[in-house]
Amino acid sequence: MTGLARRRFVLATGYVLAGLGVLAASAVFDGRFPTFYRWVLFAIAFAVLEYNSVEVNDRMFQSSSVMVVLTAGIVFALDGNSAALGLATIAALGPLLPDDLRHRRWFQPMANMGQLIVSAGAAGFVLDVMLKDVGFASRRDVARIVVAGVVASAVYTLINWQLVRFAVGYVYRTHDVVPWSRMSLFVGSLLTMGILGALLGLTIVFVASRGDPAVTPLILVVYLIGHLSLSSYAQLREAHEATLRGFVKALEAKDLYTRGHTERVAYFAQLTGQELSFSGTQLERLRWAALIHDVGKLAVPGELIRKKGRLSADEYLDMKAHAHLVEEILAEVEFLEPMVDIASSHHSHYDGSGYGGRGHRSGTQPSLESCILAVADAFDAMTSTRSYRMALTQAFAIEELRQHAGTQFHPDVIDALERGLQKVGETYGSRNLDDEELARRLAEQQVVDEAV
Amino acid sequence: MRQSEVATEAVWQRLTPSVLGATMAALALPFVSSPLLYIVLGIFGLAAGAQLGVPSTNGRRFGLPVAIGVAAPIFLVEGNQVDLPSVLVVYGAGMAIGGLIFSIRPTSKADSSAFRSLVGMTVYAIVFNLILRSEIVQMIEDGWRVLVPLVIAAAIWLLVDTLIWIHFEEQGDFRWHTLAAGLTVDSNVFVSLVATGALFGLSYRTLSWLALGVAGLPFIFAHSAFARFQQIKRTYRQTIRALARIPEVAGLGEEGHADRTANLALAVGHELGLTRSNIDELEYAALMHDIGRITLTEPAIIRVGYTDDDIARWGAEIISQAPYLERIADHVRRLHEPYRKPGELTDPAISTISKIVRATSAYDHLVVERELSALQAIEVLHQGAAYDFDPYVVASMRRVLERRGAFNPGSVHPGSNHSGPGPSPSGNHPVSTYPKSTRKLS
Repeated sequence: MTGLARRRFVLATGYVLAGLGVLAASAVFDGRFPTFYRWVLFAIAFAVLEYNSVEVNDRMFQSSSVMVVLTAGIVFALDGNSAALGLATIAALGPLLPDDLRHRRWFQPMANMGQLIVSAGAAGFVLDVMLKDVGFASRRDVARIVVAGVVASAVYTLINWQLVRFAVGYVYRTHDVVPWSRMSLFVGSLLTMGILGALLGLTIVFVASRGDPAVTPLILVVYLIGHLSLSSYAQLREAHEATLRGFVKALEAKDLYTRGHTERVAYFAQLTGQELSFSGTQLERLRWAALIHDVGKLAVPGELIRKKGRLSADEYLDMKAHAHLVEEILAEVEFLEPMVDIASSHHSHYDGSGYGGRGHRSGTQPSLESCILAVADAFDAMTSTRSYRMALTQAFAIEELRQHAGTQFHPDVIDALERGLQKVGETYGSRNLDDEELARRLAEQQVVDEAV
Repeated sequence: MRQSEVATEAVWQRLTPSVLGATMAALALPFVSSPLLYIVLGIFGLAAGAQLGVPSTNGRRFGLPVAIGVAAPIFLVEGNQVDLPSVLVVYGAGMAIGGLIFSIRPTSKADSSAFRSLVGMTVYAIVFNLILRSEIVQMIEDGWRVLVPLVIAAAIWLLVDTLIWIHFEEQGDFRWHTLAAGLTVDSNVFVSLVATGALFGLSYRTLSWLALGVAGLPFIFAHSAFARFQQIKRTYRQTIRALARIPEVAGLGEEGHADRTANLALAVGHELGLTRSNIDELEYAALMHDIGRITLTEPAIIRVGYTDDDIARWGAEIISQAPYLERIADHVRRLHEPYRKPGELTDPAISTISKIVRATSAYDHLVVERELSALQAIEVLHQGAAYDFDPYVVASMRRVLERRGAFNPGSVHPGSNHSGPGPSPSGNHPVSTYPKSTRKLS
């Protein structure tokens, strides 16, 4: 068994056992099972929302089923039954996605089931304790029920998130890299949905038991529309990023030598940003900026980009223009405005010289994000083979960056990149080539050899 | 003289809902029997709500008045029937004040929203009352009874609203497919508003003003979800348009060609009654149909030479790298295949979208690059109809151009005045920016 498979097995078993433990404990501790028809109704709603969950990225699913959990929990607790038992049993059914069964994936559903039972059971327990003596709810209890709902939704969200974080960290041995920084964007909406669920549960108990059961289907409509809008938003968001990424990749393919350059620069910028303890939003902005930093180059004639040897003065001017072109091309995309500013000054120097676009003013220090992008760009240029030069070693590249620290590059950023690379234990560039002149000569030699 | 006519019409249009509403409220006032407090609060609620729209595909088509309008008859029920005069006073006075405030606000554009709300909700309340009083509905169990008139009356409201919407937006040019599109496109916003209003009306009896929170929070949630969706949709379109401009920025294509082609293609697509999703695909395909020109910086290609077919193929290769745009890539790939070859039938695998983009792109080249008049250009396309171009597409294009007045003797340029429903391409280039000479590869 490989390390990954073993870790998956250990984690899935651990989570399932924890889930079963919570189920057993809630059954033994307080065995009053909720009214059956209501339990079935909520179980169906939960399963449907889980099944239609939004794909936030390839490894994580997010759904608005938290609303159902809270609504059901409040209803169960106010009916005088065990919310912990009711919610834990509903959660146990949720993660059985037909897609997983078809592909015989067991790790994700099992781990999911375990963590859902634990978080739903915990939320139910909170409700049971906080609403223990409410009995037949009256208007005086409204504030208390809402508070209980908020606490329960916070408990559910936090436990759920921490368990998923731990699972991914344990199994894949990754730190909070790209996708997880985005999780924080969703915590707010999860919390809101929890509060909403609590309020709706309250409405069902109050209004339905006093002669207006018609509110229940209306509430289902609200669920459905809210969820569908959110999921189509998330889908479109994915599509948008995938489209830009795909285009950059396709257009990059024009030049064999810079293939993958954008993705690598994005990766290096990400590592550096994490070392400088950037927030999730900042990291996201950095990633987008890296993704678009060379879009302007697509409008520069191909022969110039691939030119062997040094550029003439005119050609250098043309090349300089590419930093401005990214502004011209992406000017109308409001969402990308801050990223365009970062990207268009990625050739500006730390001391204020160099060339750049709108975001750059001669004589002023460019933004920290631009500095990160500049270092990541230069680092990748040195550690990968170009038409005019073979790849150099990582040590040489860092040394070369240090040589220009304080003038062209931001010294802290160089340190952060080095630390980041050390942490992930990766090395880039050639193994032994650390003479730039030799690297250039080797590339020229190769051209001569090909010609012969 | 014409301008003053337009101005008079605009003023009349702005004042119509207020005058109508005030008249209705005055006529119904003597028969009111509900508590005055509810009526006054309802009027204020409507007047304030009329200022707020909910983001939807067709601009801000529906607003908060829908929810308040739905809640009113549920609220003002007396025994087995609605207190209709009170409801009409609320509607009339509320929309009269709300519409007036809306139309004098400097930021607001004159639109049909106040008029549509007033007519729609009046029809809704009358139908609601009729159905609620009917004997069949009276047999339904007490708590569930209200759902039947709610669903039917709301559906009729949506129909009435859509008809007026089409009348204003399409200048009376009614088509069945525009009705179907109008009913479905923003129905999610409408349904969520109806559900929110009904939820408030029903839970008020038990929860009193706490019901405002119970119904308001879901509404805020749905509202923000709609707003986010519309925002990301706009960003997506902006990004596609930006990427489509790369060849033009690089000097490998005529400035503005992609935008003008998309503009005309969309109008033709609407004219031919394409479905909503096809319209979106058509716009993206038209914008990106020349993206393959980016390859023209390769010295090897310039030396060997290339055909339009090559450009379409290269473009499709680039587009297909984006995982969500495979269908667009298919449309672009077959862009330069003729409608049919002599002696052969047309290939059914070539999509209508490809055919539309092919014809509209050719038209733009003829008008801008070869500086033909609209009439001359369409005549050139006619000569190629049934071989080079799909005759249905060319005929539809002729109708579109005719409606835009492109064939009028004084008309400057056809490409720029877009009218019609759906997404109006925001990049209408003013006529003066058209280059007289185009940059071409030497």
